Amino acid sequence: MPFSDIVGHAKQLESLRWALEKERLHHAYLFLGPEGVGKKAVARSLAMAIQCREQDYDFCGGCADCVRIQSGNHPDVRFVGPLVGKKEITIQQVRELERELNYRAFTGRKKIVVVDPASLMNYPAQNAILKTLEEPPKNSLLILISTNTGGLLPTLASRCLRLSFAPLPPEIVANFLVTQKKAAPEEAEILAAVSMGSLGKAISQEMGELVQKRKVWAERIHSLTPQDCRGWMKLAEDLAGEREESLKFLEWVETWYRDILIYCVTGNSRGLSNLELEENIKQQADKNGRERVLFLLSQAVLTAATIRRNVNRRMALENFFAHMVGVH
Amino acid sequence: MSYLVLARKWRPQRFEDIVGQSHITRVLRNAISAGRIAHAYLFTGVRGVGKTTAARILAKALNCETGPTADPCDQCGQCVEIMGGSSIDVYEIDGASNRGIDEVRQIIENVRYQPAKSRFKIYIIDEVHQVTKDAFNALLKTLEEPPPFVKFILATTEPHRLPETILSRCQRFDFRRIPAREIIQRLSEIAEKEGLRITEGALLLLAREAEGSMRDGQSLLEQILSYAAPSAEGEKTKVLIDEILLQDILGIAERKTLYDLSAAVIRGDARRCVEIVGDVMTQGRDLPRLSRDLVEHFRNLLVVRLAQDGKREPGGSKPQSSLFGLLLDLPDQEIEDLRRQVAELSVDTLMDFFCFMAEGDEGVSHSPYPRFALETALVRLATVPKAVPISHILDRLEKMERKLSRGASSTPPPQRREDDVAIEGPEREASLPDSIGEENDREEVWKKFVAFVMREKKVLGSHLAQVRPLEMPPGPLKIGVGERYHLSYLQDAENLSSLREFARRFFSREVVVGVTPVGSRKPEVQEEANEIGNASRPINDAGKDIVKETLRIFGGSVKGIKNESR
Repeated sequence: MPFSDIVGHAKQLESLRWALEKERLHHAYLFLGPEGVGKKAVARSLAMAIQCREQDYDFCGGCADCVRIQSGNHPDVRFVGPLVGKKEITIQQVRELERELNYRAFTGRKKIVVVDPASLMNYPAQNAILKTLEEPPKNSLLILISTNTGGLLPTLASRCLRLSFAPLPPEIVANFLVTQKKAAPEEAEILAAVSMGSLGKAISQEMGELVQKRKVWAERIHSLTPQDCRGWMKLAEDLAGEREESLKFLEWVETWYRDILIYCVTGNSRGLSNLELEENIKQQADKNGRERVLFLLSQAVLTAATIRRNVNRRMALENFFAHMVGVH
Repeated sequence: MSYLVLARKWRPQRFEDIVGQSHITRVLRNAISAGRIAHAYLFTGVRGVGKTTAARILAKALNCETGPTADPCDQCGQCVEIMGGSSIDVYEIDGASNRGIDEVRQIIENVRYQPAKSRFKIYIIDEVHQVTKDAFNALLKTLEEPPPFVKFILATTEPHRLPETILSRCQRFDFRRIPAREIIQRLSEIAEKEGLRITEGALLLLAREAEGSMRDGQSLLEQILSYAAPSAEGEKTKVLIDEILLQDILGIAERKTLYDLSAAVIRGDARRCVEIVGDVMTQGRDLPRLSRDLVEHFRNLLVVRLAQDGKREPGGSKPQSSLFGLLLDLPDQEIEDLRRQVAELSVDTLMDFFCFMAEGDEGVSHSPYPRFALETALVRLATVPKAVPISHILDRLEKMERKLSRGASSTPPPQRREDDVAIEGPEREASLPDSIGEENDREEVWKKFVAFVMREKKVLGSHLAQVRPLEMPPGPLKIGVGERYHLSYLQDAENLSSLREFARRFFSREVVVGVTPVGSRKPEVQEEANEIGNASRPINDAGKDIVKETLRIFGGSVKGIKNESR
């Protein structure tokens, strides 16, 4: 399984390969790009290409080193993420990885650390890694992975070589689903649109469920009327049960309203992410004006933010639905 | 020896090599040659401007065998050891990792002992802002009066996090952002030596991306180098890097995209905005970057507009234009383009654009879907109503005052209307009804009137949108209001008078305005309109439902209905 098997990102891989061959690898990379486009896969491949015994500047995927990296057991390749049950990467973890980087590599090649997602390092942790990022011990390679630079210190980003990963074109995602996952073409097309160029999302189990769920959600929202206050109260109650569920719903509502907004503005359905809800989106677009959709969109974002801040979920959602049906 | 990245390879080794910080290097050099060396220095400034570098050079200068000298020799054992990071008397401590009181106690413990073989024992504490409060306090006494052979150099990007007591014990040096042309000069030297062929324009773009930080510039150069791929050490690259190629490598959207997007926003063409974002996305450009560039672009537009205002003031043109040059780090051609774009916009409108975009950018950099956030921000921007400058409103008020003082009894002269048109432009002309009073046009005229009021005074307009006219000019304007909420608002004396004023301006004649309460039953037409149109309008049936629901829950009955009115 060489580099050429990775879907998309030709330019990024090309530059990494060149650096490998010329031994000009930077000591710290920052991989930026939306979730699930393959940043971690590229990081893993780079690690394998460095450690692989069978091939130079590429990897076989079959040798002992490659297999151990894939299963996360390689002594020289460490993946750092938040510990189980924690939401952040702490300064202790950073200190630990700094200590480890100081040891000589087992295989005599490089010590590699992948921090994913780097934006989850808390403030002290990010500061603690700064000096190491600037001048790490000999023969070490740090790869930071993040969806955006929003959560990263500017001093941290400045010490890394940035590689941006673009979302994959929907055709490529759909094609991959059809050829590799034996999906039906129509289904693949919808999944590709939902995932917005993220292969990781498209093949996840969750995505299939989400497609089912949002159909139900859209129908329920569609049947809401201002007169029927019990209807939207019930919907709020159902969704408020679990925190994750309500946040997922609101995230979807955001994409849905965005689609409606796009339809309002452009008048065609190119680039919609809720492709299968096209009819519904058209109706909503006709029903609500642009201003109103913008308003509701900001309400959805606000509601999600308040729920993250542990406001009573049911009340927050009831309030949101009240806005949605227009009681306010 | 493994490969060293550019930022480390080209780290300056002498004071005069440090770019853009002459105000600091001069003071340090003089201090060393005069023998007036402080025992604690604090270096602050943004990332990548030379804090750590300066600290290391200072350490060399102090401990060099030929010194203390302002020009360390780089040859002696001391200099070589410090450059290699292996000197036993120069401690470079990572303040962010060793931040606790225990680590600081260790330092204090060791400070007492003489240096092993050098003149001074030097402690460089980098990222010192992360040291904890207790640890700082433990350090205070030592920092104030260390033994004569000990020097402290603290470096940080965030001096405001240090306690006052630490700040007052150090000699503080603030490192500046490095001006673009000095970054260009340095980068072109490096590019030359690394065998990279790059155009002036591309270097300018690089320097702009670096935002005054040399390390950022060098990281970007590194990225280009790994793209251009020189075949061997010391050889020239085959590809010539120019602006367009550079934009492609760095994933920056072209400047043209910025102009297209802002033009679409100014035109209010939301559709075009969305299309452009889609295109940029498929080209694989960095959207958060684009969003940040847009904020900067609107800021530049605002600056250009303000500079134009300044120029109009007599005598103010000279200092204005020089200030202008400092504020905009752009080639003349681009400033000309910017000027063309702002020609017809007011400062207030530009302020709105800038604020909304800055707000939107916040969302883009934190959102899991930057694309959606950017699209929303742009559509919102394109929908923002153009702000009416306050000076125009004041002008209008003044005119009104003059009119009033001339005598209110005289009928409004026709030139008033012309004045208004002159201010408002063609937009107002279009909103004027052609034939006022025709029965079948009534609905149309009313809508236009509401839209007109909406533009002038939004709150009043939105109340009007919820009510219906009973009679329209010519003759009195009578408005029937069902909801108590709207009624009380519209009957308010102040609101009523402003409504009267709007009506007079709109119909260009004196209009008697009356607000009458009507039964809460609404005409059929409105029920229909309600279903297709605005869903935000409260419906009375809903009220009934709520009453029923309340009765059901509390098990009560309706005794009577009281209509509370003022």
